[in-house]
Amino acid sequence: MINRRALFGTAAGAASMAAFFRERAAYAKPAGDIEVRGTMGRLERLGTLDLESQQDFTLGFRLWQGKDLRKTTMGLLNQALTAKGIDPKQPITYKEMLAIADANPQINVASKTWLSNQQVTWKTLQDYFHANADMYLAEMEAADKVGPGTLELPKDFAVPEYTRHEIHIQPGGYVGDPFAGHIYHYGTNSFYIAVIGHNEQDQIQKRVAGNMMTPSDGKVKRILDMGCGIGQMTVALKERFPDAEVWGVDVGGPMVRYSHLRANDIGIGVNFRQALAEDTKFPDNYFDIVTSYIVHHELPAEKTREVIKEAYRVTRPGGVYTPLDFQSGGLTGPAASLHARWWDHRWNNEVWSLSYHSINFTEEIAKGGFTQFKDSKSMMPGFGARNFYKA
Amino acid sequence: MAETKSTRPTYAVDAIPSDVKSSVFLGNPILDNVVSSLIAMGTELWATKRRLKVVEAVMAEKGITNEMIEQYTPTDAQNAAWEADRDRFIDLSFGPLANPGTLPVSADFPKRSGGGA
Repeated sequence: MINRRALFGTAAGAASMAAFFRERAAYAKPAGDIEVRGTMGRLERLGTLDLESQQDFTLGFRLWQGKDLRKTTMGLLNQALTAKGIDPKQPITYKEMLAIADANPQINVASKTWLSNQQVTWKTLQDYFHANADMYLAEMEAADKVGPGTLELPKDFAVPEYTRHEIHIQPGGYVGDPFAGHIYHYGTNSFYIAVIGHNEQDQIQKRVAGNMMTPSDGKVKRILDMGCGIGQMTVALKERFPDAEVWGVDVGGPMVRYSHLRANDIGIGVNFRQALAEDTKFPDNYFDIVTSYIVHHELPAEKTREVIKEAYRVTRPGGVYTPLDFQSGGLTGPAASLHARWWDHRWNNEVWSLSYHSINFTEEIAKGGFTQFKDSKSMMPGFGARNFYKA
Repeated sequence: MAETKSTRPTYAVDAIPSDVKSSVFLGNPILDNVVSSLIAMGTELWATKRRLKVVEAVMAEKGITNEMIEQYTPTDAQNAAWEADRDRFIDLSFGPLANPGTLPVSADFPKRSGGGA
C-alpha cells in the first residue's frame, strides 16, 4: 500500500512536503478513517482497481474529446458558418449558433459522446459509493464530531430550490446524494486535468491562495470561503495563513461533511458550516478576507447580488473580497465559444450560467460597495480580474 | 438516486433531476442509446485491459495474491506507458467519430485523369 509518507519519500517534492509532514507530525490518523487502497499524497485512491480504471478511461476520453474531436467539430461549425456568409469570429447569438450547429450530425455525435462519457463518470462513482454506503457513511459519522477543524450542520436547515439542480449532471447535484462530496471530488479531478491541469493535490487552489491579495494593514485573522464545495480552497487558504481562523460554508450537507472529513484526514484545522452564501450567519465586519471559488456561475443573477451584499456585510473595513469565477457579461460571441458555453449550460446542466453571463459580475461587485485594487489581476486563465477591498 | 443500504443519516435532500436522459441528439433515440452503450463498453473494456496490465505487472514480481493486485501502484513510467496505450485504444475505438464524412451513398467516384472510361 502506498501511503503519504512513502509517496513523498522521494527527492522530488521533498522540500515542500517537509512542511506538510511537520504539520502532521503531532497529528493522529482520525478514528474510523477508511483508506481501502491507500493514498496518493492527500488524495485517497478510489476503492477498487476497476473503478480507478473506469475513471482513467473517462479521463482519457475527455482528453481526446477536447483535442481531436473538438478540433473536427469546430472546424465543421466554422465551415457551416462560412457557407452562410458568417465570419466564424463574428459575434452571433445563441439562437443563430444553434440553428447551424444543430443541423450538423457530426457535431451532434461529438456532443452525444461527451454526454455519455460524463454520465459514465458519475454513474461508476455513484454506484461504488452507494454499494459501500454504510462503510462510508460510518466514516463521515465518525469524522463529524472530531477535529482538528469543526463541522456545523444546523438542524432544520432549509435547502433552497435554486440549489437543488444536478449541476454537471452529477446525480443528486450538491445536495441530493449522501456522497455528493466524494463523487464531486473524483469527477472534477478529471475535469481539471482536461481543462487546466492536475489538481489531485489541490495544486490549483494552492496556487490561487498563494496569490490572493491581503488587506493593506497586513492583518489576516479570519477568512471566509463562500460556497466552499469540498473545501479545497478553504484548506489551501489555511495552509497559506496557518494562524487564521478559516471558514467554509456551503449549501450541501454532504459537501461540507466531505470537506470536514477530508480536511481532518490531511490534518488541516478549518471550520465548515452548512449555510447559504447569501446568509452565512456570521457577524458584521467579521472577516479579513472573503472569497469564493467558481460559485457565482452556478447562481441566478439575483442571488449573486445577494451574495455580494452578504460579502460586504461580513468583510471588515480594509478587508479583501476576491470572488473567483469566469469572465462574464454578454450573451453573444463567436460561434465556437458560444457553443461550448451553451453546451455547459443546457446539457452539462449548469442551469444558471446564462443568468450569470447576463450580468457583468465585476461591475456588480463595485455596485455592492467594494473598491477594486488598482493592480487587480485575473487569478486564473479565463477568469475576471476581481480583487476588491472594503474601504 | 442510487439506493443506499444504510440507515445512517445522509444529510441529503431531494434534488431536481436533469432531463439529460431524455435528450436525442442523433435523430433517433435508438442511435443515441447505441452511442451511450458504446461509451460504456469502452469504459468496461479499458477497465479490463488495465486490470490485466496490473496482473501482468504483479506477476512479473513475486506473489499473485488478489490483495497484491488491488494494492499495486503503477510506477510513473508504467503510468506514462499505459496512458499512451489508453490513448491509442481510444483513438482506435472512437477515432472514426471524428471522420468528417461528406459523400452520400449515391456519390460517384471523383473524376480521374487517364485509365479510360
